[in-house]
Amino acid sequence: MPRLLHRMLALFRLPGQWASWLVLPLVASVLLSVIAAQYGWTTLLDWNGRLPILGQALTVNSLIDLQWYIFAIIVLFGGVWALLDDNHVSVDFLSLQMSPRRKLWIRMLGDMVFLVPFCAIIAWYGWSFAETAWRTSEGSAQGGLDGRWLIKAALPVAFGFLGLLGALRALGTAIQLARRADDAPDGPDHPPLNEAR
Amino acid sequence: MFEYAWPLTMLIALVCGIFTGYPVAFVLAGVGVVFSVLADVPMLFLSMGVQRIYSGTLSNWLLVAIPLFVFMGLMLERSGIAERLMRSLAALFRGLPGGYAFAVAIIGVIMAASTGIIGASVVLLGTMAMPAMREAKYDMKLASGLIASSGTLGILLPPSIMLIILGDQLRISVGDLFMGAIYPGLLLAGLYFAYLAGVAVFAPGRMPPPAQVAQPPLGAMIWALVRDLLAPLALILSVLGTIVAGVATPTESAAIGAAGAMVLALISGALNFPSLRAALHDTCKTTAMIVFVMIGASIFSVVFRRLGGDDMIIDFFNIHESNPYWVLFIVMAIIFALGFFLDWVEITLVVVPIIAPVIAALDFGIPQGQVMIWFAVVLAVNLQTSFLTPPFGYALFYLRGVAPDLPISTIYRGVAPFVLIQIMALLLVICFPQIVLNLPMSGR
Repeated sequence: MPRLLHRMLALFRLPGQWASWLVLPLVASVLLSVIAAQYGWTTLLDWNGRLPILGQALTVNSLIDLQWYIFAIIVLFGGVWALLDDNHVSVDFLSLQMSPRRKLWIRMLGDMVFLVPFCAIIAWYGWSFAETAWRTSEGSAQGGLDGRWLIKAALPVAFGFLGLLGALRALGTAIQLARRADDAPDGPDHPPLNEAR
Repeated sequence: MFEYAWPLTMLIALVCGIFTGYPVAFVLAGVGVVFSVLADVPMLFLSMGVQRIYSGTLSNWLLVAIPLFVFMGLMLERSGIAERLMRSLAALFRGLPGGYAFAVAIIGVIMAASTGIIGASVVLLGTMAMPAMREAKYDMKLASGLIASSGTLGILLPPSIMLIILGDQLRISVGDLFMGAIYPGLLLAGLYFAYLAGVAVFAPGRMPPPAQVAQPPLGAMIWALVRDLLAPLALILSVLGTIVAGVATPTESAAIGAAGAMVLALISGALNFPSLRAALHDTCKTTAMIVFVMIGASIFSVVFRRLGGDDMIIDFFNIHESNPYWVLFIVMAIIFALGFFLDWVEITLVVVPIIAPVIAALDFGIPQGQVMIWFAVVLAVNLQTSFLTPPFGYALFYLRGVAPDLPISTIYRGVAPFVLIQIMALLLVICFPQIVLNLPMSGR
């Protein structure tokens, strides 16, 4: 794969790496809502007027919204990162015996036939969902966070990244195949032993 | 059969796609998209899939427990608590025949109830106990089978990510599932102990006690054990205790556990920037990897249903005329067979949604609302074996990773008796649903 393309692909790791730090506020936020439930608090902070995203007050429901917002961001951008690092769940007992060239072919065809059309459709419809949320300034129905368009927009953005990554990777793989280079795919060629499974 | 041409070809395409080794999540979604084009399903129909990704998966508060439990497990792994416990248990049992073996089984249970991360448990038990057992001239078949199967208990004993996903897929309370899995998990561990005791009595040569070793005083050893047990037990109590007592949801107790694990890592001096970053990175990718399969599966199933897939499955099992136990047997046999090639993520997210309506329509003489809890736990016991069955059992991979010089045939022959024990536990749980239902129903 051309070096420049390879470097470009590596950039897709960044959003996931940043998002992974959100696990810490996630822990804190769930703990805070456990404490709030113990003491029977419903409103944690109150103020006059309306703030962007936070709405009229910081309530237990704002915390719950925050928790799934963080979860969604971790999943979406972590998914882009996992594609780059070959961490996605795959059944590889047959592919372990394949030649490196055949593996490249499968990866390229998979990217083009399965990944890119799927991402394009999700990004397309996801975009119109986000747009509706923005137009109607949709917020939580239960006094949680405002600005639901923000999290709805994360869906098309992440799938846009994922589709772009897939298309670029397919392009890189095609170049690699055309050059008849017999080097292995960039990922590890042993089963990815993700210990956390 | 012709009316089912679409769903049938769709299933075949899915199986072929999965076996190419391309990521399962995108094969699922891609097959869904491709078939909706081929079968002329209106594109707008796929927007329902987007809606489901958003409302069913991303905004699902229950699933927030996944990153929290993963992070808790990774933090605990780094805290070194299990290593210390292993050392003090081994010191206490060293003089007995099979002392290490019992220590491994006990650690397996404790790690299962505190972290539930298979890879971490097997790797830890493998790196710590394997050399000691080899030196003590244990039968390596027994050692490897024991390590793989004790390390795998975590998938069944709560807190378990598999149970969270099963609960979500089958629409039952995860708290009930956690409670329902406790006795079957302990039953399985008990059977392992019984097997070890049998070996110790009838074939002590397979796990001989070491030649005379200098023993520290008994009191000091017991004190060390109590000290090292304190932290994991406190954590288990605060995580499982709050769920069983009904004061916390799984998500809440996961956060308590994650915070507790960080505190324990801090006390052990293992909480520094690189280890925290590594744990966070792994948490992010692991969560994404599991949830993306859910996303792919929801796209697949929207199209599969639309093309008549559900009816095909129901017809196939012919449930209105068959004996319910016969149907259950076929389902369990299929899942057991799939376990040789797939692991729990694929099975729970691809196979379970397809067969769940079949089970829900059967009459086992168990009250409605309890059938699914029982079925889910039976399934969980069955899925646990998928980690141990060659050629594609994850526990076996991890074990080979840490003991590369061990011949694969030794590992395969070593897990065989443990797979038989699993099947025995599976049969017991099927025949006596009370093992599962006792705990979740006692609070009602």
